[in-house]
Amino acid sequence: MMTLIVIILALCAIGLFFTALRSRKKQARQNLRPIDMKAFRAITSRNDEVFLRRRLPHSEFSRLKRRRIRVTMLYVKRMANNAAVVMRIGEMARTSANPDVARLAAQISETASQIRLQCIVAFAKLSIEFAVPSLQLNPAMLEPSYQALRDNIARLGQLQNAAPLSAAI
Amino acid sequence: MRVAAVVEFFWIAGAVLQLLLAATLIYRRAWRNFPFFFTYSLINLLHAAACLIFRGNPFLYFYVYWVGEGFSTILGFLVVYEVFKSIFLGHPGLRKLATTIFSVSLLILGVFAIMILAHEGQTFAHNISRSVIVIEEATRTIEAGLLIVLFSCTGAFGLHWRHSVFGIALGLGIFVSVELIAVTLRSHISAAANNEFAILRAVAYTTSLFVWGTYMLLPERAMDESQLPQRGQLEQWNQAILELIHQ
Repeated sequence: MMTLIVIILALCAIGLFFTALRSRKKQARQNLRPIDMKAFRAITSRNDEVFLRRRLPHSEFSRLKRRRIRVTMLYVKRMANNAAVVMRIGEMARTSANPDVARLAAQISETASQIRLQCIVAFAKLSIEFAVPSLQLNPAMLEPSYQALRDNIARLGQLQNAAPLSAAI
Repeated sequence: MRVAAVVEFFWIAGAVLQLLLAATLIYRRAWRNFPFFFTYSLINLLHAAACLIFRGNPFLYFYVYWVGEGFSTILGFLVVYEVFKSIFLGHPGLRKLATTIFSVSLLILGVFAIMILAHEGQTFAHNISRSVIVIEEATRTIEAGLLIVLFSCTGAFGLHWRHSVFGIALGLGIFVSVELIAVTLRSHISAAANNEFAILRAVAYTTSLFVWGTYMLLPERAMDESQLPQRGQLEQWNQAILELIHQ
């Protein structure tokens, strides 16, 4: 039994390493992807959820809520990917010869990493709601860290005078 | 006879690749950024040379081989730590969480390793070489487990791997995992299969040396302006995240 567990652990490790190798190549090609805000607002509206809960039978409501959560998860995944892209950009800008750029890049990278973490928490909460649709959990509190990220990106753009980055803010 | 020739071929290929890797590391001045990995590579090279010298004396070879393996395993742990430190260097917030995850994982893996020692140790208590294999199985289990945690954390947190760091982790991971399979099965299968395990181990180590050398030589990606976010994209992302927060 012990031998079997060890062999499975080793095989899992090999599988994970090759998955990491593949996803690393994919990650290098990733760019920021837009998010349809209107659609996102509609799909995550708690008012709509309350309305649906009142009007629909429990089984129908659960089925619908799970579908909504699946779509919300796609949005959260995209946000997490965007945070990873910003982290990568921040990582590269950190080696800049300009110390101010490097310092700000470090801050951006750190804030983006916090957002990524919040996305993981949001994803976990959505997963619980998926399992128990009658629950109403509040997704991650991202606002303060995201606001800091936005301010820092703006300052980095000004420091670098880099057209695409400064324009992006 | 043919199996022995294959083992010999991989042994020589491994020694040549180790020399090339050492030259690459010296050329790259790797001792500055990766002192443990640099030491690990040099110790492995010296270990291979010492094994070659004492090959004719089974008694001395046994001790040289296993003492070298011991050093290599300890340095392997330090290399994992070095990779961990390097990945989380610029992310103090994530580093705290990752350190906690690592500490808990290390504790669990340590308990699991003790269980392996207790379970297998009873069977091989009177056989020194088999006991050494069981100790190696336990330590490699911890090493492979830590590498799994490292790769999982990096993937979950969306962290960026530098070529050199990824190469070190991947090469070590391939070798440790295959070595773990080999030592685990070797303690349960007859001694007749030793040559096959020697080939498996040699192939894994040669692959790792190749991975280390290749990734050490790859230039790091420079910042590409075209990768920077566009206004519309970032704004939409911003809005979407704020929407999520206010739910």
